[in-house]
Amino acid sequence: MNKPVAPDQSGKPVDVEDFSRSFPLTLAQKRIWSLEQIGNSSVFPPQVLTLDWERSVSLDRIQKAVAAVAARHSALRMRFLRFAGGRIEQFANAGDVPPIETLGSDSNPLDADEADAARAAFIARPFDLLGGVSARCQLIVCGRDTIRSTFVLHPIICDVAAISVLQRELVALVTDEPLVPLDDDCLLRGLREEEWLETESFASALAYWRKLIGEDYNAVTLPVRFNASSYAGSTRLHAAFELEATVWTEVQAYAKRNGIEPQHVLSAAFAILLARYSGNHELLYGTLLANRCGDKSPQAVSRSEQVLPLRFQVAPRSRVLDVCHAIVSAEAEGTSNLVPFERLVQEIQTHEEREQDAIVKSLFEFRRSQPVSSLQPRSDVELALVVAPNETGGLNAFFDHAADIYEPALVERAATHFQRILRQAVTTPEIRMKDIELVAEDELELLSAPYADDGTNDDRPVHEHIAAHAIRTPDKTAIIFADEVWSHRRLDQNANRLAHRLIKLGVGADVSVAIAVKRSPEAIVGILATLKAGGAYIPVEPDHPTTRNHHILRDGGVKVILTNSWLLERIPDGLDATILELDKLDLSQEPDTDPKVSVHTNQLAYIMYTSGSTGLPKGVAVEHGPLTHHMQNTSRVYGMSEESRELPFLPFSSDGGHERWMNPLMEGGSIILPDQPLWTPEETLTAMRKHGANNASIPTTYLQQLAEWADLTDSAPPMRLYSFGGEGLAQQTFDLLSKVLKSEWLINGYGPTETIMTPMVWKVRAGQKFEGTYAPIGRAVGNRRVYVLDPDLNPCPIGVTGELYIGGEGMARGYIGKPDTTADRFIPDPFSKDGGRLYRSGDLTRWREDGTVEFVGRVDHQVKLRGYRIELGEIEAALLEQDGVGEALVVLRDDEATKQKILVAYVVPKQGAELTIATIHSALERSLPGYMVPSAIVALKSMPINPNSKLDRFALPAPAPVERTIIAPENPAEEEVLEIWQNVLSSGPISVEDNFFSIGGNSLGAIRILSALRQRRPQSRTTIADLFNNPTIRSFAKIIDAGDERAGSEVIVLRASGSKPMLYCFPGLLVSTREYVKLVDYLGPDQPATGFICYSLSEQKQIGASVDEIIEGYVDYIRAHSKGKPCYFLGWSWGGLLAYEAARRLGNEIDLRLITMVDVCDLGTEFAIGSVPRFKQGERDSLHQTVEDWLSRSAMRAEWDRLLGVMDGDTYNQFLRFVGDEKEALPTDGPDISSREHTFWILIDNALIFRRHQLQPHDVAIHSWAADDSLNRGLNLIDWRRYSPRANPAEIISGTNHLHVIGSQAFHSRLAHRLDEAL
Amino acid sequence: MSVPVALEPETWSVVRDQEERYSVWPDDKALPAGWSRQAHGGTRDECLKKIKEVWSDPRPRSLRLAMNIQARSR
Repeated sequence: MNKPVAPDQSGKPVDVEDFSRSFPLTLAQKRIWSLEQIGNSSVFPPQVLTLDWERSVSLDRIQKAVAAVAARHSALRMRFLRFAGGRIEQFANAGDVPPIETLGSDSNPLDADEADAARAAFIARPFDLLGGVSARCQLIVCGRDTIRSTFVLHPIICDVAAISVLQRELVALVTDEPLVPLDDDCLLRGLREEEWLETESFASALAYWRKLIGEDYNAVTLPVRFNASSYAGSTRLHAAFELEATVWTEVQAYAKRNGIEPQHVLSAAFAILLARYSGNHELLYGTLLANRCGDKSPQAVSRSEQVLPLRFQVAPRSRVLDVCHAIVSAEAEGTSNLVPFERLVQEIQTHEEREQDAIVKSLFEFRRSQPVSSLQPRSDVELALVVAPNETGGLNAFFDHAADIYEPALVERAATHFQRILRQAVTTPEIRMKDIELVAEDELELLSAPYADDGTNDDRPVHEHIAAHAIRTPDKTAIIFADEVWSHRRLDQNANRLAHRLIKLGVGADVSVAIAVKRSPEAIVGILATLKAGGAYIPVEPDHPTTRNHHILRDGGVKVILTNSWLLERIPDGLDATILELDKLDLSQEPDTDPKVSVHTNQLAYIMYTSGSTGLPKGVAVEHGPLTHHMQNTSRVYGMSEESRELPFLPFSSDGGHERWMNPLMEGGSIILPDQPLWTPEETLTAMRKHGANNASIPTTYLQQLAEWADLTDSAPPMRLYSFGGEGLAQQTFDLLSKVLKSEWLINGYGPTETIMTPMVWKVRAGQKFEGTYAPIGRAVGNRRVYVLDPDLNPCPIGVTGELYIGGEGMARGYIGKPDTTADRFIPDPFSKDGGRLYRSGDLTRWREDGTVEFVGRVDHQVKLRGYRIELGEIEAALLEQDGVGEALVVLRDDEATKQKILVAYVVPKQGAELTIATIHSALERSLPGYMVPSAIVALKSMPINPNSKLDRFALPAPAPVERTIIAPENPAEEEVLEIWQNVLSSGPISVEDNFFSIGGNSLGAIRILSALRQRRPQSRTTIADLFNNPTIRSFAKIIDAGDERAGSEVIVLRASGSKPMLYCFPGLLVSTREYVKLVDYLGPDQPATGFICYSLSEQKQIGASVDEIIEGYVDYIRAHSKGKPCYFLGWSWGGLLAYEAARRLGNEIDLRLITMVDVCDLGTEFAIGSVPRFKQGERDSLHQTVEDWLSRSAMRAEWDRLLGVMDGDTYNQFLRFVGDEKEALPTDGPDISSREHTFWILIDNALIFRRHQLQPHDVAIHSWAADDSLNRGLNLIDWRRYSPRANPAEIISGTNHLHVIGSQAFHSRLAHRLDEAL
Repeated sequence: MSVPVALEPETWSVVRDQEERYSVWPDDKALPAGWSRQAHGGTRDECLKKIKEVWSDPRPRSLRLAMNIQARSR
């Protein structure tokens, strides 16, 4: 025990005689090892313990304590051994002591800065796990008072709880306190785990998790950044905070009162935070288990901690205490079924076809006894909350999160909200989740506030504002309509005359008048006359469906109908209303003076009919007071003046259309009224130029066309302002119009009719950028406030999606004749001090960082499909990114054939564009997760629009069932190929122009086709590459007919053209090049690529070929095509070894810019040269007998004999060992290409090829990637930095595995980035 | 797994403001300023049905009064 401090041993070779036995690693250790292999030390950073000792403690004493603690804990002496082939085991030598570095002395101590720098450098120094022990210690003499000791332990043998153990023991040893005996199981943990994984107990634990988590799970977390890709870079951010002692004391008291542990209260606060931020009450998140039974008993230093997934259901009305209890029971059940998390992930994420979502995205960790003040990071999960008691009796806490995934400001706020939840939870007994207030009153005040507006409104109604200009500037232009020019005086006098007539007909307060003429100056006269008479107008578009119009006329209780004689037939009979035909009406006897009817602020001004999602249109009744105030506020926000000349393009059947003519006229300005319901973009821009428009208001559904035309012809006149609205405005459209419309200002208006015209606007300078699917909808206008609320009417924090509510003065009275619907949509305003109502919009929104509101989608536009919550707008945005797509719409509908819910997309091409549906579909497959790719895409000439210029979702056609035209073979060769295909594919009828791969063909099918062809035509040299390059019956038959000249290639041209250097793709075992297609698609038309056929599928295959022989063909081809030219290599799986060897062989003959290595593993240990298999007594003979028996039954006997024939005695023993370790019986289903036996044969053949191969150093640029799943499995990934000085540490691709990484979009984007870098 | 607690069904009330506009409000949430609970309660739908019966004049109270005065003065 009193052994002197050992010198640094890291340089000394391991003396193998020193240890008796080495042991396997745990799965967690294997994962850490794999990460270490690829050079990643950020997921699991080193564990650090720093202690400051008073100078009464001597250096010698501390050194002795270090030696003593190392003697107790094998972890501090752990060494690792790599066996031939790469298997890793751990062992510990009894006499080892971790190296101790001592800096400074009594006579020459380090000052504080020096000490800090030395400590930081010591921590940053990498470990050499194969060359030394896994812990080291630094002692620094700092000034007169302190010795600072810093232990750094590799995470492979240490966790957070172990650091506490170490601290406790060091202190005890230095202060001469006794230590109790210890059962150090660190060495044996891996072995025990291996054994346990074979037991029934493991099987039943796994069954528990399969049942609990299932396939359709949704790990909850905080909202992620817009466009957060599935790739999480390694940069981490921390948001630290403290909770004062009073809170922690109250939490502990609360826990005690309720018979639970305090950390369960903290965990519940975290769970509530997640539920409130995600809106999801079916919680799935993780908690960190120290996984040490009882923390007061003696403990070994080891890596024991485990991530435990918790899944439970809560409700907004659950009490906080209920949540605590749910956590306690979930944790207890989970702990009793604990399986290594790495294994759990593999077992749950079995869906190979789609990228996998993490099971745990957010993690709660409570550290019971955290040493010293600095908290160790927690970076093996997207987002973690770590909480630990501190010295002052309070709590230290921090969020540790991936910088690429979460907005730091959002996490900072979440930290504040966590504290609010905790405080309210423990101070308010019986409090429920939904009662907890996250957003404070003052924050809400700021977020909900309208646009700053210092002006004051008067109470004069709109028509009085307009009439005032007839006196002030009577001759000024008010309306330009085709060839007509109306002055303010003419407009006012006409309106007055008609008003007098209407009054005589009984029009007055709350009496309605239908304006059933098309958009025209007469219509405006009719509207103003109605208002002047004290009545309420109802716009009725003559062109709209008669059933709709009849409903409006009856439901609106109209007293007078203003129309034209030629429209009379469209007016239904039996109405109790006077019909005035404006073209025949003689008003010359009516006075042209103001009738001077005074109106009450609560009197109705208009009734606007809106199409609901179902049923008949509803009449929204709007009063004068809110209307005039809205108009005056809007004037100021829009900057309207008597100079304003606006082109209002919005239809009169939408309230926005009325706002946009009233506004200029109220200010004494003028309007250019379109004389047709629709103008072409050319007509619109011409009118603007001709009449000197400075403002224009355009429906969003028309903007894209207008902007495209303006872009094409550069014909947009300079303007002061464009405003638009009616639908969510997609980013691409906004960027385009921002660029081409030459406007100083842009206003994105938003608003339900129920809250009067445009209650919210986002006003920006052209060129403004925004993040998000749709343009922001900004802030409230005028006497209104807007709120983003959850279903319990709690305000959502910034960044959290909720429903938009609008409150204040600016809202409608309600729905005509529908008191219940009015009461349902207009609810009491809980935020108002003096009464009032809130209108529930049905739109999903969130507050942005700057307090403006972002439109996310309709409440009923968010759908759930196969357990996934899908925002249809995201799919639409992806469609709009495709070339030629002008408009897009996605709906969830029932598939008529299968009665299943499917996503259907509708697309409208841009002007002059042709859409290829298949291209769009494959582009979506690249850019969206599989569950979001629509089952059908339907091209439409135009979107069906309802009478209010809004999309009519109910008029969308069902997707037509796919009709395939079967083209019959035309010649004997085609007939022959067709017959073979039909046998192999056993599908329905096949057309000679069907693509092999799109009707279910795959690599194995291709081989079968070739074998069948070979039987019929033994002389044929057609290869698999020929089939890949010519994937239809017609083109393939031509190749066969052409004979030797064209056939016989081992090379697949993945993309022939493009200006970038050629990318050569080297295949792995049993991999064809077909798998690269998605990748090549992603890299785009400028990236040429060539694939080589996998050797095991090739025609020249020979037993016992060497790697050199295999790459021969590749090297020749590359030399012939890229000699002296720049190019890239890509090697996937074992293909990485081939790529590397080809690069070595070609040397300077080519200008190789970069080799990209994708999940390249070393050969397993089984067949490594020098690996000597161990057999139990008699086992070898019995295995030999098993093999003999098996061979006698195998249909591939001849092939096996050839393969076994080239094995020497040692190799055959390795083969027997391999057979003995296989869990399943030896397969006898060969020789078919898809049989297990055939695959087994290929595997052994490859093992023989690669076992003789030694990697040699070569100076070449290499970038590598590793699939997450391969790390979880502890696969033996190659660290290319061992062979090339220009290799980088590997990046991790999450949510994918060895087989599917090549199709992973996260990988594609990283690869594209690296290729560009190397260009 | 779910929280082991039976949640009582939510109850709502018919509420009315000073202008005699009607709406509905959950009983377990503080009633906003300016509103008073009416005698009718039940599920949200039941409350809305009741409102359909009782809210016969859609005009706000102040307008109704003003129109009545005007009518009388004619």
